[in-house]
Amino acid sequence: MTVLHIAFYLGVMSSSVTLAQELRSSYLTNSTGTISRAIKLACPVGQTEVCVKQCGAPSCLIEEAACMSCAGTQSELLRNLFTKANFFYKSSHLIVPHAKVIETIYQLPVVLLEPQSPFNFYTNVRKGDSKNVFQGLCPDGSLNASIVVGLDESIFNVLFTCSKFNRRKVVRNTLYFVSVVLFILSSIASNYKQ
Amino acid sequence: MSKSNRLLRIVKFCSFLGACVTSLDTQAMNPLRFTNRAQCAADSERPATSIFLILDSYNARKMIHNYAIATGQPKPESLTESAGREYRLAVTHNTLTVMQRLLQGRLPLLPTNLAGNDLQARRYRKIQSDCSSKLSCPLLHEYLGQLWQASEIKDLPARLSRLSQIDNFQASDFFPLGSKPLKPRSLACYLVKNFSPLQSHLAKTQASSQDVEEIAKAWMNKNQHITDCYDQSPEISNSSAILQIEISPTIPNWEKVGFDFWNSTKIISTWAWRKAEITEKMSPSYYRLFKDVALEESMMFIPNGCMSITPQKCDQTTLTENSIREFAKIAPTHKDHSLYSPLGPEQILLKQKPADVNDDILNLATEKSAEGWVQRFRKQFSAARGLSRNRIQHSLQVLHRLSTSVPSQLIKEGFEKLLQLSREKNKSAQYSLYYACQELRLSMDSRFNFYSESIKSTFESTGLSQLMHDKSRDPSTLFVYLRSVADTTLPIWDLAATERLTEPPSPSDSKEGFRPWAQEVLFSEKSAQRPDSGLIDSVLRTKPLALWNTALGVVANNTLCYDEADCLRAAVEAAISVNSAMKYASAFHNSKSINSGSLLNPYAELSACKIYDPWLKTKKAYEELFVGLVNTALFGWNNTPIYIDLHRTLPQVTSFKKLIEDGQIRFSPQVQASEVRATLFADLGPLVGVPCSLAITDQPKTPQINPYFFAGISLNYCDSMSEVVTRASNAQDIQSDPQKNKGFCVGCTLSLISAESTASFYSGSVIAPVKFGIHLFRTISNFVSAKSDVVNIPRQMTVDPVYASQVFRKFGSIPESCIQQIGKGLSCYSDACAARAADAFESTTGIEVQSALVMDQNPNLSNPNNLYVYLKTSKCQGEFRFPVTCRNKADEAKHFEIQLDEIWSYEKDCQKHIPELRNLL
Repeated sequence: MTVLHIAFYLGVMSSSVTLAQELRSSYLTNSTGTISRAIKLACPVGQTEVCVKQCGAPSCLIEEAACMSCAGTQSELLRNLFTKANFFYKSSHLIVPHAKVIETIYQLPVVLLEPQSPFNFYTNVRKGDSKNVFQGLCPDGSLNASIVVGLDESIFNVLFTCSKFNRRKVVRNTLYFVSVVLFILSSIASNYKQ
Repeated sequence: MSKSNRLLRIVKFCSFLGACVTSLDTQAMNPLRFTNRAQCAADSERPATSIFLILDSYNARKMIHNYAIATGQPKPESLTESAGREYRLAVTHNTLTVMQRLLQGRLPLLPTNLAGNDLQARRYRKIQSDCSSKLSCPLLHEYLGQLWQASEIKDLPARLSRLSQIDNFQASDFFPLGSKPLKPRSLACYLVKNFSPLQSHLAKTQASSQDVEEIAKAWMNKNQHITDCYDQSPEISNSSAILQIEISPTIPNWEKVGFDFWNSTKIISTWAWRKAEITEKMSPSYYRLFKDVALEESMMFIPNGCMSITPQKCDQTTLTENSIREFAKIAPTHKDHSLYSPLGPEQILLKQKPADVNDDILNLATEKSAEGWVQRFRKQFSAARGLSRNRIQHSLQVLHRLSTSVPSQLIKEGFEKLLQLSREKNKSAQYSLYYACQELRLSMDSRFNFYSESIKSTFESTGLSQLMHDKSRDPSTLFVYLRSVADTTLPIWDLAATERLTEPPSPSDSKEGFRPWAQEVLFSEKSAQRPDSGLIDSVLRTKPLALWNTALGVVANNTLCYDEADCLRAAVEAAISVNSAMKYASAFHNSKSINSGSLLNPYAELSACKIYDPWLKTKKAYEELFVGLVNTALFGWNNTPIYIDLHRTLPQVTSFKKLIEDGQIRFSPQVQASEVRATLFADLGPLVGVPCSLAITDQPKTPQINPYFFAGISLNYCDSMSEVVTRASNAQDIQSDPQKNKGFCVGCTLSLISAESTASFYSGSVIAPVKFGIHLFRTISNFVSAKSDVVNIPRQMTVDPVYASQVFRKFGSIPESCIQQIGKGLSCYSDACAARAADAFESTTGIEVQSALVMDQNPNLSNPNNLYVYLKTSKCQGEFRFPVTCRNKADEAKHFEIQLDEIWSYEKDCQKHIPELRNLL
């Protein structure tokens, strides 16, 4: 199993009604009882073609890559994301094709970050500190937001997304790039365009 | 129980984990090494054979707890506890497996020193060189993966062939390093339940018979203090643990390769945790989650005593790593880590007073359990680490945001407006100008050089760039911005000062207007609050000049700074914060390897930086003996009324020169060299007929007028002239020039020697026997006195807990007569020679010796090479006999030799065991 470092990310946010798939953080237990982190891609009734195409079922569990040293306090990137992402990043209003997001999740090593992520060692999950931070990334004020972070051992060749969704009621899922306000992630957009 | 039970006994048990793990027996322990200050300092140059692995399971447990909550597990606490146990066992097994493979020669030793020309592992050197500034190194992972795969090859020639293909490894890169294979009992591991007399060498510099008795009792009740590293009992805490891992001190060439062994263990074990299958075998359910854990910040290696895990150098990495010891203390010696204006570890070294060693400096004994101690240490260390990380991260973001949104030209224009307003007697403008410029001058004015050079080197160092994820950004560009701001703004301040327009508020409340860092620097204290807004109202703008995220507008926490002066002060504060946090970055931001500072030896860095020389007093004692004997030979036997006393001053480190080597900061000690100062005593008695003498010296102190050791009735007059020049180049670099001294004494002493000297002169006798005797006596007495310094002349004692308990069981106490042998790590027999023979036999065979007696083969010869030792054991009624060589009663191990292969016995019941023993021997 490959263990990867966090490299960088680009943000994608939902705000329109064009797509209805739900992305959320989950866990997967395989036949031998091994537990892994996973991304759950769920398609609502009547719109299951995307999920069926990917995994042959209305909802898919995609195993996340191991994230080297992410369960701890030493990643400056995770610290930024969980504590000040809303100040450091902003929506660029550039829409990422939804298929691109799904393709990214399937083909590249990524982890999905939510405020209650197992990698949130930086804020008080119960007080919802990071929830406010993540919500600040969403231009349409949706209640739930998450960030997809790309991982790679060789830095600067992966792309990422940030998605936003309403967990209880999947309403929309248009995806945006997030422009980077500050410097640590400034090269992401250009990498993605390449 | 004999020492052989330390054998790495493979006890396989298939646990609830579903994996078979290897357990280590805990029936013996390395001898406890008691050392005084000088020996402790000297030991820091040697690789440790016993270490503590401090494991903090917080990260793993938090992750598992999150999983339990997210998936709605019925008993999240219980699940977290059981997963925490698996984590503890997995980390233990991972580390021990790597160490075992190194000791078995299945993995090569990765060198600590990569600079040597004779280095075989050239590919390894290149990879380390290429990756030195990178956060992650895929090439190293690939390399270690190849080594690990090769280590799985069971056939020795095939394995060596594969390893040599990977990196040209030679036989000298593997254990065993000698011709003999390593004994299997080379590795031991214990889980420490509480700190007990089994760690008493950390709290005492020598062991009395009572101390040894405590050690013996603790060993006999060891289950109360230590247990097996794989212990799964419910009472064992899984939230944190201390493992005591020991390498047999008898491993050949350990001194040569010990540091490489620990270096290899650290590098390979963190790789294996994520890439090898050990974690999976130990925790089939959670191993994928465990691979995410930041292992490097969850564990720490600490030498169990004064020896070291990494070579001690006078560089920032070593000094900073060692400074972590402050967080293990109840009352830290200093709080330099949290200051805005820290002295830095090298200046702390210069300022600290002589400390005790092995005096429980980490307050281990204050906690009932070892776990409690780890919790306290972790709490204090994590808080400081969080503060440092937040400070750096926040400050870099501030600087970046300002450099892109508030150009220096804008700040300059703002200051010109402030100057104009000040000319119009606007008090707010004057205050604003005053505080901003004071802080700017303090930090960035190169004319004063308090911080500007230090900030410059911090922003240009590779250490800071390693912390930044965006490698396309060079942190030195942030310094360029700072420099530009300073260069355009300072002339305006100079102009305002010339025109007397800068006016501080009244002295009583001027402090409150400064930012906390400046308060700390200027007033040696800081308030937790931001500057008093009443003193520094924004006079230039009604809306904030810089926001974190302009899209959000003016909302809570989104304002970066209000006007040009405020933005400049924010930039300066950020620069100061980064500069201060980077002083101890190696302690808090070391994400690439496991910390392994010499926390229990405060003299490790003092010795590395040449502030303390453990051998100095010894050398000085011999020098003075030599000088004394020469003096005695020249002046002692005759009535020449002259005596010369040579006194060598101690070399003293007065400051450090900072050097950059291979991107690392190294400190070069600036030493005030040792000087030989002479005092000439002229005994005037023989010339003037009265017992008077004159002494002239260049010593810092006025000389002792009594050169003849025996004081009598004296009347003295002394005078000295000294001159000290102090120079300061910046706040941290204040130096004093060497003292220039002259001194003289005139005194009259009525004493035995002066009378004898005078008498012999007037009698016309050439020989002065009394004077000669006194000179000689004084010289030898001084030497004996110097050598008996219990602090600065190296002294050591080693106590083997197993032998101590044997002696205690045998006598019911520890006899004073046994202390000498026990203090050499032996048991107690008729003499040291017999004790060493018994130790050699027990260590090799594992059979406990009941009695040992050394006898001459031919008593008439008394030849030390012609001795036999007779050992009575539990094997048979009779005795086994071996030839031994004992010189000086085998006080030192090097004077002892036993020929175990020439085992013999006169008794038949013992003879039948000889073939079996020969196999072991």
